[in-house]
Amino acid sequence: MSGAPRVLIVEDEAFVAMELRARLEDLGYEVDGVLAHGEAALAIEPSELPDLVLMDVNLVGEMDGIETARRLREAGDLAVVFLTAYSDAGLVRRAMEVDAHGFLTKPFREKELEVTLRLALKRRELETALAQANQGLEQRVRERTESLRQARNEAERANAAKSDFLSRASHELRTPLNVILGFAQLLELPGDLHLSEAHRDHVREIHRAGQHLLRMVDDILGLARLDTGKLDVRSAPLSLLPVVQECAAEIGPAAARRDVTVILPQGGPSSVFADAAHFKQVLLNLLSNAVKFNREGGVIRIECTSMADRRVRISVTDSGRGLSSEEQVRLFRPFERLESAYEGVEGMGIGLFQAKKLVEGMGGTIGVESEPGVGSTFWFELPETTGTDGRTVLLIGGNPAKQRLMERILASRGGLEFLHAESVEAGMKLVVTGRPDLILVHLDLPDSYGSGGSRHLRRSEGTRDIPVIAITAEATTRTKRQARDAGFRDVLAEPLAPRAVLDVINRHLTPYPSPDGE
Amino acid sequence: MTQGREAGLLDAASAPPPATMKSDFDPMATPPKHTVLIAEDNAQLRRLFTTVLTAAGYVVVAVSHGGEVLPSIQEHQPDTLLLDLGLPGIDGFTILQEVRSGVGSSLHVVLTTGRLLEDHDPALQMADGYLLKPIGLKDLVESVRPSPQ
Repeated sequence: MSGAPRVLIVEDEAFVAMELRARLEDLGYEVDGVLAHGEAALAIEPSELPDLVLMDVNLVGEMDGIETARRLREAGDLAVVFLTAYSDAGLVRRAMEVDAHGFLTKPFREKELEVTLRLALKRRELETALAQANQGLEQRVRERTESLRQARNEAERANAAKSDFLSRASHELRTPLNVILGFAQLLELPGDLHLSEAHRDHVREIHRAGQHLLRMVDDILGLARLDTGKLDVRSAPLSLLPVVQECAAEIGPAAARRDVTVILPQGGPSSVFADAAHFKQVLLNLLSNAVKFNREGGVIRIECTSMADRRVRISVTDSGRGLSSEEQVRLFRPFERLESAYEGVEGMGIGLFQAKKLVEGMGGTIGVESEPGVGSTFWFELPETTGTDGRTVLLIGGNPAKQRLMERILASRGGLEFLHAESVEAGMKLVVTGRPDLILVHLDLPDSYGSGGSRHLRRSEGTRDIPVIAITAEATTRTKRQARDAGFRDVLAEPLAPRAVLDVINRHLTPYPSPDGE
Repeated sequence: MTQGREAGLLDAASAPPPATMKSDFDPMATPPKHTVLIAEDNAQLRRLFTTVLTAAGYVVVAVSHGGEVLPSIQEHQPDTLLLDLGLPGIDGFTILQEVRSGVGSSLHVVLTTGRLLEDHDPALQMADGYLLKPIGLKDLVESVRPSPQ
C-alpha cells in the first residue's frame, strides 16, 4: 500500500460526514470523497475503489448501507467499516452477515475511530496477502501437477516406444529366420540330395538352433505385449480338472521322452476364478519347466488345494535337483537364467516372469518352495469360485423387467450375488451393507441421479474404489466418451446383450492392479 | 520362371502336386498346371519359396516390389498369389484391395506376414489364407493350392 490509505465516506447526514472528513484528514487518511447514496458508491469504477469505505448503515434511498457494502465487496477488495446508531439494532444483525471489518457506534470518540480504521485496514492487508499466498500455492500445485503429468506421459511414451521396438524387431527377425529354417528343412527332406550322415547332423543343428531362436523371438514378443499393459484378462469360473488334464496331455510327449511320470490332482476344489487362456499358459509353463529340470525317470505331481482367504492353490512339484534360496529369489525376474540349472536346456528365462505377470493380472500370486536335492514346488494362487464367490453386483435403477433381465444374465454366469436399488441414495446404503464388487447404474434414471449420482458414488469413501458401469440406451460414441470422462469404467448399451454384459462384468470384477491406481 | 517336378524331393512335406489333383472331385476346375505368383521382397525367401513350389510342381513367377504385382497378374494370370503384406512400394493391403475389386477377384490369395493377425483383421477377411513367418514348407505347399470350386 503506497501513500496514505484512501477512504470513502458514505453518509447521508451532511454534518456527520463533514465532521468525519475532518477527523480522518487529521489522522492522515486521504478522503476520496463523501457520498450520500449507496447508488453513487456503486457507480465507482472497480479500479477507483478506495482502501476502506466508512458506511452508514441506515442510508436513505433505494439501497441501505448493508446492501451497498455487500455489492462493493463483490466488486473489489476493500475494507468496510459500518457506522451505526443504537436504534439500528435490527440492521446491525444483518450487517454482521456482510463480514465487515469494523463497527462504529455513533457517537464515537476519536480514539475509537482511529483504532477501528487501523484494525480494519490491517485485516484487509492480511486478507490480501493470504489470498495472494493461496493463489501462489495453487499455481505451484498446478505447475507441479503439470510437470508430474508430463513426466508420466514421457515415461509412458518411452515405455511404449520400447515395446513397439521389441514388437517390430521380433517381426523383422522372422524373415531371416524363415530363410534359415526353410533351407534347413529343405536339406533335411529325404530325396535325391546326397548328404553324408555328418552333413545331415549339421543341418539338424542349424534347424534346432533356428527353432530355439524362434522361441526366443516369440518370448520377446510376449514380453512386449505384457509390457504395454495390453494384458487382456477375462476371468470367469473355470473347472479345474479338465484344464489340468488338458495341460498334462499337452506336456505328455515331452515328459515321456524323459521318462517323467505326471500325477494328476486327487480331489481338491473343482473350480477357480481365472482367465482360461492365461491359466493354461501359466500351468503349461510350470509343467514344461518341471519336465525340463526334472531328473530322468522323475515325477511331477500336480495338486489343487483350497487355501485361506477363499483362494485356490495349484502346485506343480518336481523331483529335480531343487533350488537354493538365492536362486529362488532370481527365478521370477525376466532374462534371469540359472546357469547351473539349465545345462542343455533351451530358453531365455522369460517363462516364469510371464507366468508371474499373468497370475498377477488375474489377481493371484505365484511362488516357489524348494529343497535342494529333493525337488521344487511351484505354485500359484487364484480366487476361488464356490457357490457365490463372494462377489456381489449392485444394479441401481431400471424398471422391474430390466432388473429381472440383469438378474438372469448374472445367474447365467454363476458365482455372483445380485443386489438392486431404485435410487442412488438407496444404492449408497446397500454399498455399506452389501459391499458390492461392482456397480451397474442406469444413466436414464427419471430423476437427477444418473450421472450426478454416479459422481457421488465415485467421490464417497467406501464406493470410490468400486468400478461403476453405466447403462444407457443412448450409447453413442459421444455419450460413451462423456461417461468415461465422468469416471465410469465402462458403458453398456441397451438393449443389453448378455454376452456384452458378462464380458464387461468379468473384465472389471477381476482384481486388476493398475500402475496409477485408477 | 522355373517349372518341373523333382520327384521325391518333397514327398515327406508337400501336399500332392497338381498332377494328382486330377483325381479331385471336379477335375475340370483345376488346370493341370497351377501358376503361383510370389510377391516377396526378401531375395532369400523368394528363392526358398520358388525352389519349394517349383519342386512341388507349380509354375512360379516371382516379384519383389509392390508395383510389380498387378502388372504381373495381368501378364501371367496366376492361379495363386502368395503376397507379403509388408512389400515396398505399394503395400500388400492396397494390392489386396485392388485385386479384390478388379480382374483378379477370384484369385486365390495367401498372405505372408511376420505379424500375428487378429481374426478380424480386414486383410485376413479379403484373403483365402495367411501364413505366419517362419513358414513351414508343408504349410507353404498346401496353402497355395486353390480349393476346387
